[in-house]
Amino acid sequence: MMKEVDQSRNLHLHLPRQINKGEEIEIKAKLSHSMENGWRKDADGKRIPANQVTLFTCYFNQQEIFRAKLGAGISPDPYIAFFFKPNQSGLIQVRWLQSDKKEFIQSAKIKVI
Amino acid sequence: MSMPSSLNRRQLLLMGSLLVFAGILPDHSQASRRAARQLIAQLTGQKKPTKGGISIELPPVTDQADFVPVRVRIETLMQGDDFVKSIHLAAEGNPEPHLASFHFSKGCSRAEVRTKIRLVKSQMIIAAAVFADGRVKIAKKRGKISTGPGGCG
Repeated sequence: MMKEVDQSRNLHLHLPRQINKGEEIEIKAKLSHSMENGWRKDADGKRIPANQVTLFTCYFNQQEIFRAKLGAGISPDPYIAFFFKPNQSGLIQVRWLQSDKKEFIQSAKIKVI
Repeated sequence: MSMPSSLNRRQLLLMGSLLVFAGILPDHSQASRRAARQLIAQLTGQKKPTKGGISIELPPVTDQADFVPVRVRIETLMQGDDFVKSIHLAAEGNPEPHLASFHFSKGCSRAEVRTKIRLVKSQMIIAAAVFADGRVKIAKKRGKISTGPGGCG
């Protein structure tokens, strides 16, 4: 089943544009998302339906380098930062997967000299 | 100054703990502590955990209960048996104990991760690291939530 790619949200992906070989980078990723757990009620007393991002994956040149399974206790506008050492230039891609299979994707290039 | 007609938070909390002590109200905090520990045991593969070499950093106190920054770090060379495969985070006092599970690949140069978590009240956070050889290291830290000026937290 094809995952639906959603372009509508704000994504942030922070990493250096260029590093020397052997250096590590910190990859910082954030997604604008309410992470509704389905318990809150709106002003009319109606339950706001659950809508959560449950999985974050990061790829380097199409190989998975990091993943995070997100539980109910992750903050809205989820934020994740971790370290990686790229051995060559390439493309970092992050994917945030919503429980309804919608996916939010962002990429950034890194040059290794 | 006249007494307020409704009970304030402090009085409600005091009544609640008296009722728990009297065995009238069930103690949910024990159940959620147990749930958090069971979850960590499940996720880490039941190998007996050791302490030391793993740290959890949280703000000493915050009133932003939905946005508590946390950093977990493990001292390790990230090579061979000392490679950390996963870091798991659980909360002892949230309705759902699971916060997140992070999985590293060979290119990850540090067993370290930062994120932001939601804490419904002051409680203990558990971090568990699973090494390539199955070893487990565990750390606990209290996250304190203040309810603003004059609050008892």
